[in-house]
Amino acid sequence: MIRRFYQNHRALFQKLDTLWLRSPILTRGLAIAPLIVVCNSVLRACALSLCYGLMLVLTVIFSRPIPQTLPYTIRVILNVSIAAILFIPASYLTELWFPGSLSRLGLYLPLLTVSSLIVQHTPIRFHRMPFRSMVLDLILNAGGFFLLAVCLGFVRELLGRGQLYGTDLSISFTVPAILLPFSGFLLMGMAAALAKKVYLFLNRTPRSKRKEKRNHE
Amino acid sequence: MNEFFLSLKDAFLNSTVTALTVIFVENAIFTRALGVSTAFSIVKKKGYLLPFGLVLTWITLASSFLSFSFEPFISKLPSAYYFRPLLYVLMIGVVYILTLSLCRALSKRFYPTLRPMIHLSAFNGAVFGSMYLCNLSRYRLLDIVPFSLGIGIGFMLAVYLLSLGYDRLNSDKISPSFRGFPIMLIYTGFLSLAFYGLIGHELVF
Repeated sequence: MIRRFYQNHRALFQKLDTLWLRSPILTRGLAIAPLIVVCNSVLRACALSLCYGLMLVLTVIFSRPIPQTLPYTIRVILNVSIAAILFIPASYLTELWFPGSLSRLGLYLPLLTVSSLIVQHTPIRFHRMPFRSMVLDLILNAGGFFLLAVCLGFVRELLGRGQLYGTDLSISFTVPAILLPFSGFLLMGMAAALAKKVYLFLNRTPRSKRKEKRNHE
Repeated sequence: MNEFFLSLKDAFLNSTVTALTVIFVENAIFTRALGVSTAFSIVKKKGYLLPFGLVLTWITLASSFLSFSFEPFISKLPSAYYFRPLLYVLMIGVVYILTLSLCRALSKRFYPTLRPMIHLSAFNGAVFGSMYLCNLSRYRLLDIVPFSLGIGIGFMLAVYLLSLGYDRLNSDKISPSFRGFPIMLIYTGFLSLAFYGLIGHELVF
């Protein structure tokens, strides 16, 4: 039933797929490093997502007027420079709303400046889309990053520290190893597999139609 | 004269230890996930491994050297934290253009092959991260060369290890939902766990 509903409204859902099922983070690993290493609490996840969302959306919008006639190298340098300029207000706001996050996130906050989504996707994907679709895609990308970061931060904080948003839940059994980068890789792998499983399920042709096709052949 | 040779020996030993540590113990991909998305895209093209690694090593070395040279000025800036990414991006930009121009001038035959690799490796997490780590570890000029070489060679080693499993992890024997990217991440996680066993503690970032 869910699959039929999805397939009947495929055009709408395909637009929203960037949020989770076809998110470039889960399908190609773009902008994955901060999630793997530093995203081990909900607070860090929120701080990281705020900075990333602001930088991604504003960089792509502000770099749109850069003429396509310029050589690719120059366009990339200009895009990343705009991202680095926007890092100043974005990180300032992040520190204002989540005090201490600059030191907690270390080099992974400035690393967002050279995120593959900004460097590679901006000139070859985002700038080739109509403005409205581009803004929607950017918001979905940022939203997808936020959802993934919060889920990952929630699981790692709960199991690794026995806390939730910094509040101790008095859980006696914790697994501190889940806070380390290798657990980040493993959990991201599981999340990517889950997203792919759901995507394959939703896009599979129903059994009756498959039988019909086989009989026809 | 004897003292000179002794200090030369010390410098050589220190550099070797730094490079080996960065390659085998503090591998940029397995311990800090720097440049991991680029590694996943390179792993599909096995012929790219060596030239890409060399290009990345050169860009890391040149950018780290530039960032080291300008560090005294950068650290004096008010709110240096906020301006550092912009200055690092400009430095990488200079190295990026210089590398493309040098490649075009020196080898017209290899330029079309090397150009996409230069595009891919310039604004890369490994390059940008190594500039930050040089500053974080307070390396001296002599340490910059082995550190940058270590980052580049470590990246090549990591991509080589990933490429060994790539074909098998993309075969029909793997369940469709895990096949490809998800299982590669899990495989990287196990390799990362092995590298973590060598260090025994979390690295600074």
